[in-house]
This record gives sequence, C-alpha cells and structure tokens, in this order.
Amino acid sequence: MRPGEMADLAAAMIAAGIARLELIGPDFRLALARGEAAPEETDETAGGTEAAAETDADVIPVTAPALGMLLRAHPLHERPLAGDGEAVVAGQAIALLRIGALMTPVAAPANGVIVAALAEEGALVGYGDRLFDFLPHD
Amino acid sequence: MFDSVLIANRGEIALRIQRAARALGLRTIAAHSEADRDAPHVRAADAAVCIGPAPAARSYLDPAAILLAAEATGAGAIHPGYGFLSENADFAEAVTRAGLAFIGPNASCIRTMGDKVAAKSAMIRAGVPCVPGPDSGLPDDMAAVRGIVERLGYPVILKAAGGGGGRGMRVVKDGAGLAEALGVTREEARRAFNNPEIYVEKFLTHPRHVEIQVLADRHGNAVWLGSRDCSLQRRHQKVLEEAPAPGLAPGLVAEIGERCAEACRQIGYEGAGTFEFLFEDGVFAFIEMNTRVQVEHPITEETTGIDIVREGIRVAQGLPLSFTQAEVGCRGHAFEARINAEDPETFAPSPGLVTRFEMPGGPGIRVDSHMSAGARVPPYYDSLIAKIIAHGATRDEALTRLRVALAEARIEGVATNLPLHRRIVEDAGFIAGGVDIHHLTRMLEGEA
Repeated sequence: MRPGEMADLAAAMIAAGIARLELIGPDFRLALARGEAAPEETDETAGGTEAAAETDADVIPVTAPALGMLLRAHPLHERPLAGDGEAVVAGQAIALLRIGALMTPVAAPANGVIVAALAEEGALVGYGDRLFDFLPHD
Repeated sequence: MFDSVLIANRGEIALRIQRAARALGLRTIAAHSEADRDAPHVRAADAAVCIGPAPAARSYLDPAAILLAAEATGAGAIHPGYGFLSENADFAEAVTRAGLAFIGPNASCIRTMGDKVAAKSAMIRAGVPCVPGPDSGLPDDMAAVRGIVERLGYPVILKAAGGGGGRGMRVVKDGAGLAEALGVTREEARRAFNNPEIYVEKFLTHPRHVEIQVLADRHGNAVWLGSRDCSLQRRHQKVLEEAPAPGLAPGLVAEIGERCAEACRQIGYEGAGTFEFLFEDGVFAFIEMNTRVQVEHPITEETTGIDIVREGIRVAQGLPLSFTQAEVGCRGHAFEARINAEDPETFAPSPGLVTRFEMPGGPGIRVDSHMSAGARVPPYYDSLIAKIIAHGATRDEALTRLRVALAEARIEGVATNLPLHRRIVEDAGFIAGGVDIHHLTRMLEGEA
C-alpha cells in the first residue's frame, strides 16, 4: 500500500465519521485511528494517543515469506544486511531465514527504513510471522 | 529411537495424534498453516511453526515446507495423519532419506497399494479374496475380451488401472454395449491418466462396505483388530460407521482377518492400515488398502480397547506390538457419526464462525473434535468438525446412546449434518443393520 492510498483512506474515514480502521492484506496490516474521536482511548493521555496513531499509520509490518531461523547478517559477514534506520530500496534483502544450508531472503517491501525488529536474532519464525516494523519513504 | 513427533496435519486427527504422542512422553511439534494458528493442537504443542498460507497446496500438501519445518525444529519423526500427504510414497521416501522416521509403512508398500492392478496381484498372492476378474489388463483383441467377460458373466465393470476415487469406471450390463463401453473407457483413461490399460471385474449390484483394521510391526508381527461396516455413504464419502460389521459370521470375518494379517507380513507392512472389501451374498471381495490411520479408527479402539494411534507411533519407534492376536477381543459395539460443517440439504460446505458448540457426554460417549465456540471453520479444508462415538455392550445399547448423544449435540454459527444423522438413527433399515452402500442415497431420494 502506498502512502497516497493511506491518505485517501484517512480522508474517507473523516468523511464517514469512522474512528478506527484496520485493514489486513496478504502481506500487510494497516491500522488507522483518529485520536480525537476514539472514545475507548480517552482514559489515556490525549496527546500521546494522537501522536502514536500518526506514527502507526505510516509504519507497515514485514512478515516472514517462509519459515526459518532469523538472521540479520549473512553468517560469513559481520555487518547486518540492513541496520535499524538504514535506508534500503524496495526488494533489497534486509534479513535471511536459515534452515540448515538454505537461506531465504526477506525483501524490503518498499524504499524505506527498518524502525524496529519484532523477532529475536536466531529465533525460529514461521510463515507470516511479523519480523520488522518498516517505515516506507516515497 | 525418536523422542519427538512433527504432526503434518490439522483438525481432529492432529489433536488425536498429539494426545497419543504426549501419552508416550514424546515432544510434539505442530506444522500448521496460517489458517490454523489458533488450533488447539498448535497451542498445546511443545513447538509450533507456521509452514505456509491457508491453501493446502502451499502448506499441508507441500513436502518441502514440512521437511524444512522438521529440520528447523529438530523433529525425529513425522506423522502424516490421514488425507494430505499420508499416502504419498514420494513423501514417505523423502522423510526417510532426510534421516527421520515416517510413522506409517515404507514407500514401497504405499506405492504397491496405490496401483490398483499391483495391489490386486499382491492380495491374490496372499490369499485375500478379490472381486472376480483377471488380475491383468484386457487385451486389444475384441474376441478375446468377449471370451474373458462372458466367462465372468454380466454385469461387469470396466476400470482404468491408473484410475481411482470413482473416476475411470463404466458398468456394462450385457454383450451389446461391451465394445463401445471399452472403447470409450480406454480413450478416457488415455486422456485422464495417460494410461490406457483397462481391467474388468464382476459388478456387484448391492454390496456392503466392510473393512478390516490391521496393525503390524517390523519384527514380523501383524494382527487384525476386527471389522467395521461403512456402508452408509453418500457419493463415496462415509457418513456413519459401526464396529463390528453386523450380522456376519465371526468365523468368516476371522478367516478374512487372518489373510489380511498374512498379506501384511508378506509385503513387509508396518503401522496401522485398513483392507477395504465389498461384501455381497456372503462373499468378501478386496477393493483397496488404505496405508494409514483412518477417520473411523475410534470405533475399533472402543471395541478392542487398543489405542491404534499410540501403537502406530510405537512400531515406528521400532518397538514390537504391545499385544498379540490372542489378546485381541471384541467388546460390545460402537458407532461413529461424522459431523461435518455442511448444509444438511445441499451438502455444500458451511465454513464460518462457530458460535455455540456443545458436545454430548455420559457413559459410552466419546467425542473427537478440535472445535469450540468462537473457533472458525476455514473454507480451505475438509469439513469434518467432530466425530461422535458411541459404545455399548450390545448394538442396541450403542445405538440408543448414539441417538441420545445426537439429540444432545448443539452446534450453531455453521450449518452441520446433525439433522441427517438424527434421521439415519431412526431409519428402519439402519436399525435392522446390514444395509448396502446405496441405502443412504435411496433414503435421501425417497425423502426428496
């Protein structure tokens, strides 16, 4: 999903008076929330909720394309394929999933940066598990 | 000897395998699809790994994904359950080549039993009675074909050697239609199975479906565990089964059972298996062998007191069977009603959210199910959601318990075939016992 489409969705939400929208696709999960209109969130600090909602709307998850042991760096290299905050291009390998000698690359879904790793280095992950929060750039 | 089992299946049988493995003190690993993340056997597993998306072709039917999951989790054995890859000889071979134990027979046994003509030859060698007809393909010469068919006697059924599952078959009632029927069946077989070989069998018009459960180990021990009657079928799908098959002479069943056990010893069979027969006018005729555990295995567990799934795992560990033929008895009678999430009128699958799920209980009632209220029946797989099993000291007592259990069961949110089962248990023919494989279709058409 492109940021432009997200902006369209956000506009549609405001027009229809919808407070929260969650969209799950084959390789993404999008959550949009309007801080001022979400009654169940009024218990929390209003400013914080709004800021978090704005950030969430831009970040997309990167899920595992296969099962395997998560590696941020190739076993023969010390440097990670993509460090947190390092700019990557769409399709670039940002991690590897290892089973024995077999390594499956995890591709960047867009140009952008990894915001946070959601799985431990060396952990066994399954198909569809969330690996990273990713912030796309235009 | 392995100490962990990867369960390469889903639904009630995955849970059934897990229970048996845990009772043996084994570590269980669930290899599941994305649609089954919340399945009870996934939650209860010592390790679980999602191997692919919901469609079976990319998860439960993907040998590479399952083998990779086994390697990544350090599994010592793979249990294929039923359906999916359970009767795939290449998969069994790949599992063994990867240094893991395949819980079931070796690839060569699976391959032989998967080829109809080869399976029939193996059975004839072991003295298992088959449907009358030659154990080889028909010749091209029409005069020779006529000679063979007339010696057999009409009606006959022409079958493609490479066919199966009800495809590539044609019934011939008399000599007038033979040449044309053979030509059409051969051409269909050439196109559909890339194998024009056709063989002929006597067509049985009103058979029952009777089967024999076997268990075998790699030390030359093979036993049979009694008979089951699975005649209540709709479009070749079993609906309600019972053990033992009612009204058969115990001596005749024992003789067939012994021959099945002998066939297992001859082909080097290992694990649980089932010999399926047509039974008509007092005669058994072998149709095929299922080289795996079957959906209806619990009714035999109820009448013998033997845990078939547990024994299957133990023999795969290389242990001998934990009992002998002399210790196998038949205690009472048992029924199994397969509860499917399907429209009771159209039989179309009914996937969706289960909002209410109340299963029966009480003496002699066992329910094998992976369902609960709040769970979802995915649209991607078989629609079996529960098996209600009723056991009693006599057939009458078991049937009474089944009737009460079916009345007690409540499932809401998805449509089920519970109403069909409630009709069957009041049907006079079924109550009397011994109906043929067309009975359920006749019953449904009579009401239409």
